[in-house]
Amino acid sequence: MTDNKAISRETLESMLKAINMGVLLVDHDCKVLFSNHFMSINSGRSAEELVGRTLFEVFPELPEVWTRQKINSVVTLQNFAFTSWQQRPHLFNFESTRPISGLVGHMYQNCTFFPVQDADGGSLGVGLAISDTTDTAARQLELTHLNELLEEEKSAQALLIARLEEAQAQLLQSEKMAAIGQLAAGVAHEINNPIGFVCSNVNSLRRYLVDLFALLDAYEQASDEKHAQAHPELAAMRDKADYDFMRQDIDELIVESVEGLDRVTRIVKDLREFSHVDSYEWQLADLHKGLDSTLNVIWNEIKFKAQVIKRYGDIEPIECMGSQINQVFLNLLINASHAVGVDGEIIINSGREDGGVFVEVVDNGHGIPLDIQNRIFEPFFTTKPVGMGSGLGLSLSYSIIVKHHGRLTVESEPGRGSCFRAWLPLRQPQVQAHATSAVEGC
Amino acid sequence: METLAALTEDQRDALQELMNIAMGQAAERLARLTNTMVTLSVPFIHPLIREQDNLLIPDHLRRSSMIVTRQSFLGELRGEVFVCFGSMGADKLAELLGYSDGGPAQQEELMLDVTNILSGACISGLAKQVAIQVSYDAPSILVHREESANALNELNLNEHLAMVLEIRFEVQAHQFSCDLLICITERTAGVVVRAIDRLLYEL
Repeated sequence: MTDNKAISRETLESMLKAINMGVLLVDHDCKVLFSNHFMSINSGRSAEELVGRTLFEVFPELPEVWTRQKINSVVTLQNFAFTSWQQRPHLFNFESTRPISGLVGHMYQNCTFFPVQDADGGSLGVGLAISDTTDTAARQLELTHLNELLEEEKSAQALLIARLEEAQAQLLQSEKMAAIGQLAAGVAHEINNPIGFVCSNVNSLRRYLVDLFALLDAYEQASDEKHAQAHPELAAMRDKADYDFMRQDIDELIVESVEGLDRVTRIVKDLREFSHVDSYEWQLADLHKGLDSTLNVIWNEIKFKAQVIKRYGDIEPIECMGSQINQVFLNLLINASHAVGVDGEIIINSGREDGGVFVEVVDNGHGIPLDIQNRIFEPFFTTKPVGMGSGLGLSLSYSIIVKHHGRLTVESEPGRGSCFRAWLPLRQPQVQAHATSAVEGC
Repeated sequence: METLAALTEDQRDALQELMNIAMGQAAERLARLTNTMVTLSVPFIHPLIREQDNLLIPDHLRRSSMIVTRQSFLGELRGEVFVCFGSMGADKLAELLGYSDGGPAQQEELMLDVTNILSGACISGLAKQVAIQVSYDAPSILVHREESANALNELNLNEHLAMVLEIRFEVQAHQFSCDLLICITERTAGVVVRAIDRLLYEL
């Protein structure tokens, strides 16, 4: 290497020809001065066919204006210029160098344009060195594709996780509700039996008493003055027992007892209806009935806090899962009762709208701060102290209403109160109603 | 070896002068290449910053850069040039450099061309004045972002010395600007400092 003369022009030329990359030399007018084997093999033209012609005659795929400007910039600036397979994959239209295994049709190339000087240091022309990057490109494209797939999968999984979380929250709450429902149903059942015979006994007692008093009246009428004088102790007993008052009071006592029993029976019935162990399926239900039984169940919680004003409109029964809708009412009413202070007022509105029905629970409580209004339907979001609220009530209500193809919205003004509004369609869309009920049935 | 960060005011002025000459030559060549009036602003050299891992990049660059390209220069002077393009990229120069359509691949290629021309002009100009040979590898896209936020913060860099050159182009009536960030490896920065000292001595 130290003796340059030892390496002849021919040796250098044959080396350039043999090198495993494309080498071209062009003059300022883009006329080819030199071309090596790589170019011949890939273009299918011999060196003789290439040399002496312009680049554009022998490689018509090259954009002329751009290529000339590129060559020009190398000559003018005496600086390198480059093309990369990423931006310009196929500068020369050569076939792929992975004919069997590759999925790509053409050779990907990187190309370097470099200034070439003659022996005197003047500008001779521009050299092009073209390297084959098909293998790298194919791998890179494959990786990019894989990456896209992974990204897609990732977002699909994120969606799944969100749905799983929602399902879990719902399961948690519905398990809780089912337990409460079972307990309520059990208690109701246990009370129902004794109440049953007490009821029938009281009715019999009432009849017996009527007969008994009729008998007494008959005795009284049958006894005359002589008989009374003969038995003064009878009058004394009658005065002592305050007989007239007793007769009157017994009637009232019986009436009150029957009323009381009616109330117990109704509460038991409401408990059973509310827990609705059997109504996890789509059926026509009267929302007013649902509202009333829900109100009865939580009456103890509300009655000292707020006055409840019902403004029921004229609505027809809708297709829904009664127990679930009752759960929504329960949540909304409980929340309203928690929100109100002194002089609390809860108004329940209902009516028809948009081919469906709406139920509004309006309170005059503290309202919901603006910054959390869009979060209240999120699972586990709660403003109540630890242990007081699960943060599930509203999110569950929301998902129940959505499952019914309805809408649950809120309007709230801090300090003035809130209005929760559930809108539900009269009938469920056919297919989904069945599909959901099948799932619910499991 | 003294770092570039420790340059005196005189040395800084001399470096500014070196870059002025380099950019002047670049403008003249660009004008010849494009057959148009090309005005290159006097490059403004921001205070030199030496940082271990990240670039303390001037705020205006952080805000505006959408695409950052890079190109290495190799030889006795080693390092990399980063060019920060704004949202417009280099579209204004497309026609002058022979590009016809404005597809995304072509926009990128155009930016790589501009990177190559600018870094070639700066580094070759500098290398010529300190009488050394440099070579270049192909430029590539380093950061390509829809949103500009902190595109440059994520880079993980080796120890280097940086100088930021703010360059404004004016081609015909179109104004175009981009910023060049020249980072020289710690090991070879001495070449520049010696050249500066020689320049100052000759004055």
